Amino acid sequence: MDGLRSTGLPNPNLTWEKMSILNLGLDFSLYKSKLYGEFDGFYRKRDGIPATRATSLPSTFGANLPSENLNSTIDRGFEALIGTRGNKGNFLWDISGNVSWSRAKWDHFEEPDYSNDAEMERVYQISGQWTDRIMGYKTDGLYTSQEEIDAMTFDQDQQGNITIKPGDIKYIDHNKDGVLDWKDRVEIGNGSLPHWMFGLTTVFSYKNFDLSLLFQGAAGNHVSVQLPWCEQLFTGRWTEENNDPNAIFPRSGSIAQGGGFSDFYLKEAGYFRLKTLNLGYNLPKNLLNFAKIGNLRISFSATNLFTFDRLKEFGLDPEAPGTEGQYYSNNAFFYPQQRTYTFGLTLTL
Amino acid sequence: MKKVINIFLMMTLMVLSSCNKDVLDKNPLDIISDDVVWNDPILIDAYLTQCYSEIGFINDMAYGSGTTWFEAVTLTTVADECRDGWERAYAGKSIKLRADSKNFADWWGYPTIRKLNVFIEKLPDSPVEESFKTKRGAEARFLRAYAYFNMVKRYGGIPLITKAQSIDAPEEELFPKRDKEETIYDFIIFEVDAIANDLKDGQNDEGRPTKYAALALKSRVAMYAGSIAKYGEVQLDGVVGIPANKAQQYWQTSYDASNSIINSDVFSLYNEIPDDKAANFRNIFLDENNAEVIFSEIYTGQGGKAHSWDMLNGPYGYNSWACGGQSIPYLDMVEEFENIDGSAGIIDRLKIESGYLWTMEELFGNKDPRFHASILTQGSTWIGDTIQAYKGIIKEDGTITEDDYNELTGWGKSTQSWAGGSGPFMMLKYMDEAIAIVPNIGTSRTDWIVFRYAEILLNLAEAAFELGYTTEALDAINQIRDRAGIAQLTSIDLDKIRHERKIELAFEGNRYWDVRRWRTAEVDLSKSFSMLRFIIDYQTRKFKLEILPNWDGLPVPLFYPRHYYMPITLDRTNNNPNLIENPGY
Repeated sequence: MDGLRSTGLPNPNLTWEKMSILNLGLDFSLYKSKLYGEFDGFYRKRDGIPATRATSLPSTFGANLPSENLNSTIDRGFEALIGTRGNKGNFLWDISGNVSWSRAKWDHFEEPDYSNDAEMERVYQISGQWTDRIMGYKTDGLYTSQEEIDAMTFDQDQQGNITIKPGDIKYIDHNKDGVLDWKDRVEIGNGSLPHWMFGLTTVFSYKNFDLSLLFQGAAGNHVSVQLPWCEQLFTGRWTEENNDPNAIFPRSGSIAQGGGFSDFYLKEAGYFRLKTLNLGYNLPKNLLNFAKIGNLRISFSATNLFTFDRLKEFGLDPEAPGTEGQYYSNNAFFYPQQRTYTFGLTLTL
Repeated sequence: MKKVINIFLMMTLMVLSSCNKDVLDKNPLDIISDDVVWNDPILIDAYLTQCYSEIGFINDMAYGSGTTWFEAVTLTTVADECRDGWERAYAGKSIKLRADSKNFADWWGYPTIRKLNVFIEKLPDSPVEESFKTKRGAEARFLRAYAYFNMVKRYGGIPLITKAQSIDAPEEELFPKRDKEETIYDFIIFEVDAIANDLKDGQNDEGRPTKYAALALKSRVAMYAGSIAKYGEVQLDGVVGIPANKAQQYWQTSYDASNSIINSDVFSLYNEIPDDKAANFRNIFLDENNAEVIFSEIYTGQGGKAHSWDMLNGPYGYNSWACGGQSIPYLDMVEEFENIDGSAGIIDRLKIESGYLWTMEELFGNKDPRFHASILTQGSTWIGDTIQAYKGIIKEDGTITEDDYNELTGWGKSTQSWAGGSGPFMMLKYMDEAIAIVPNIGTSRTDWIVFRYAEILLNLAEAAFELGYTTEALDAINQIRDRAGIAQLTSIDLDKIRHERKIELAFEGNRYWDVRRWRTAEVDLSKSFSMLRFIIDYQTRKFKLEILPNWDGLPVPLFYPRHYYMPITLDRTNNNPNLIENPGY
């Protein structure tokens, strides 16, 4: 049964965020477009992002503080494109590659003052850190025998390891103080948005043949693999029969230790893929004239012909969208990328 | 004439402009301003109602987790009384206490304490009636003392904040250090003394604390402080632990408070149905505001203030949504109940192993009537039906099947829970048969008793014994046993007092805190408890028994000495470096 409750302290001074952007760009085209390109760099500061001072006031204060314009981030990044096009006799080409990089840092994040505890500062301080930094435990595969558990030199479950069984994750006592706790957390990866994105577009033609390829890729991001009940989980998990320290999932019923996230499930999600391929052939004019048809083109195209990535054993696609959060993602429900082959015949009378 | 018109126009404009000002400067309709609240007794009551509800007497678990739903039943499942039928996160008991995550019973109630501090500061300047202010002010101080008790029994010493801090207060005030554990206990005792006479002097005040509720709080709090002084260890310069030489003083305070309640003659042990002791004991919890109740949290049921005790703890098979059997008393708990003649209630293991077939009468017929009033099992009567809690049938040829056999189902109706955890024992205390089929959670209307007279007698017995008044201790325990309908004791010791407390107050949310303050949890909670299985014999309808060991699973949960204090947790020690963490975390 609720009674009357205070709405908290007001802040009449709350205002918009401010943003300042520094942008530098260059477009060029040389030697009659034989070499062309673009370069664009930016540095953007967002100031006055609303946050409450609650985190810097002790929990004993007992009230929520109003939002104030406190936080700020700095984004920085660049995009570059370079290409060449031209011909040598009947051989025509247009090749261009682009690459971009961007990342943001917390310039100021409203949080407790950690300056008197270096460990706290290392593990918890957000100001001055990349916004997508993920802290967690390092792991080293799975335990495969009770002997291995008995021989452990540190207390992984804070209970003398009595709850650890073969098939559980082998954590690393990073600071070697004999117990697994928050002090063992280190930077284990980044969020799900790639820092690097790149693409390569190539178009060639020689006489009546033409070929175009589009490659794309991304790097510098991680995905937290959390699968629903699925075949990969069933076949890939640790069992007594599959006593593999590198099984992709621990034994069923295994409990995450240390009250936190580990790199066991955090995988690099960078990839490189041939997105599309088009190959075509136009029948020669003289042949067409003879047959009295306007144009006849035979073509073949394909999408997603090959991908280099590290997520195949989980059945995940690196391009699948994820839920952005500190620890991101379950992208197993995404409608899968498809590989398609198309053969075409275009006839113009 | 023109002049007149001009003046008229000007006047109209002025009126219009002043009108406009009013239009823009309206009082909001969805919130009530501060000034209004403190001038209106109804709004003052509404403010205090919110504070009552945030204390959550029935739900002595995590702060802010609500008073009505699942949490209402869980404190017994972290003690050695019951297993959580749904095996939720806090099953596994103590292992969930760690510094870097919030635990199942974390109760950092400073938001409520701030509200109460504001109330206590604002009320004296309010223009409402003086007597109203005195009484409500005393209630607020009772709630604040209760909130500090909720915290001190978890964390030990904590910052004692008795005024609403201003945001620009000096740093020493905003970033307080932890006070000593005894400071908090002394504060609660001081507050209770200061307000007791401003509260109603009567048996009950409809959900508000009376003078006797304040004394009952004092009796319990001083007893906790006494046991911590005697059995605990002083650490961190007294931030946790109380010096042993203070024990005597606290026992005396508790003893005196209990005696004030007893000597008032306002309360008595409930004995309305003297010829049926089991029915009598059950009725203590259903016959609201009877002469045994010192303070209760009032519930009115669906649509009003409700909890879910009946829905979750009722025997499985009788509630909607396939609910019930949530708190499953361990066999160990069942055996703690003595027989009527005072002999131990342990079932003969050799007889079980021999495959003997029992009738329920042979097995539990002679048990303490409080057993039949607190626990349902195979053969108990429930809304006109007979509880079936067996698992398996012995066929004529002697083989056991768990499939349906002729007219019998393989498992009894109350052991068929989809949750998989249901056992042959179910909780009966507080269960209201009149609701019959419980339609949903949040429909229970039974008041939750915070303090009752029997507890005061038990507090008295414990404090008296610790002070060396053994005859008084024996007498208090025998009053309880007499009402319960079992044999009197002829001698007394600490184990017997604690045992009586475990039985009399079973499932009422005391046991977990009791084994902590006695510092016996290392033994009492570092155990794997067992369960009983009933297998029905098709021909004779008697029961073969089987003991299921390690019913909580392996490994055995361990309660370490550090768990006597819950962790302050990192979030809080982070944003105030003056808050030191409890030892061992």
